[in-house]
Amino acid sequence: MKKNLLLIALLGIGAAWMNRPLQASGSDNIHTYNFVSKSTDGTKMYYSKDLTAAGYIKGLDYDCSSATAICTFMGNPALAHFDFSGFWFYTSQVPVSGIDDSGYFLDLR
Amino acid sequence: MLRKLTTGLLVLLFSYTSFGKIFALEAFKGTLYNQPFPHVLTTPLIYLIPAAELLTAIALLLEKTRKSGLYSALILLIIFTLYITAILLHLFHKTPCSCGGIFRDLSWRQHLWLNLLLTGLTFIALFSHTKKSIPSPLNLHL
Repeated sequence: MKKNLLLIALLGIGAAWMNRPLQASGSDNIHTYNFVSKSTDGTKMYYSKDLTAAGYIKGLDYDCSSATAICTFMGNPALAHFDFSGFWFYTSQVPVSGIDDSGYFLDLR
Repeated sequence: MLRKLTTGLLVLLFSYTSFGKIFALEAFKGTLYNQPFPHVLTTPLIYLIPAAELLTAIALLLEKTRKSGLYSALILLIIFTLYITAILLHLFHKTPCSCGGIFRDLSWRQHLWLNLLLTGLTFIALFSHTKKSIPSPLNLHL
């Protein structure tokens, strides 16, 4: 194994470590979402998270148009925060709207 | 020279992408669930993709397995390039995000160009590696 290649690999691992999502302090109040995409007019944002696995109760804490555990939600980009951990929202801003698997928006409020 | 540079570039790419996924497995899971393929495929892919990338990086590091590593890198790059092409041709019912590590700011079109460049470089590196491993009649000691 060549030393310089090993150094390059370590550089890659280091970059991955530096770029990893940071654990938000006070995770009860802050929840991270995996950013997916923005609508063409920029007013809506699609993102997803397994909220049930994260401890939220479906129908109480959140809702969505799909019956599966993984739901896709739509949010207002103006409410999104961005740091090195990616895009995130405060739990108070978790939306209760969703899109179904075919991409149709459904407002459940 | 180009072969060495390409090998270095691929080691950097696959060590970064594999560990990027391992360090952020939950985020990667979310990304996969938003890709336009059946969810039944998602669970195995969560582990298979980083494992394949990690094995490729390791294979590239070792002299004995470098050629296999280049083949593996070429296959992975071709698969991803075909996937991006399918997305750009709107063959799926939705366009997923192109998010992932430091490449999250790249559009799918930019991703495609990057992948085509890397695939081309890998192909050249593999060809020159194969050429190098064939002993020239001039070098034979009879």
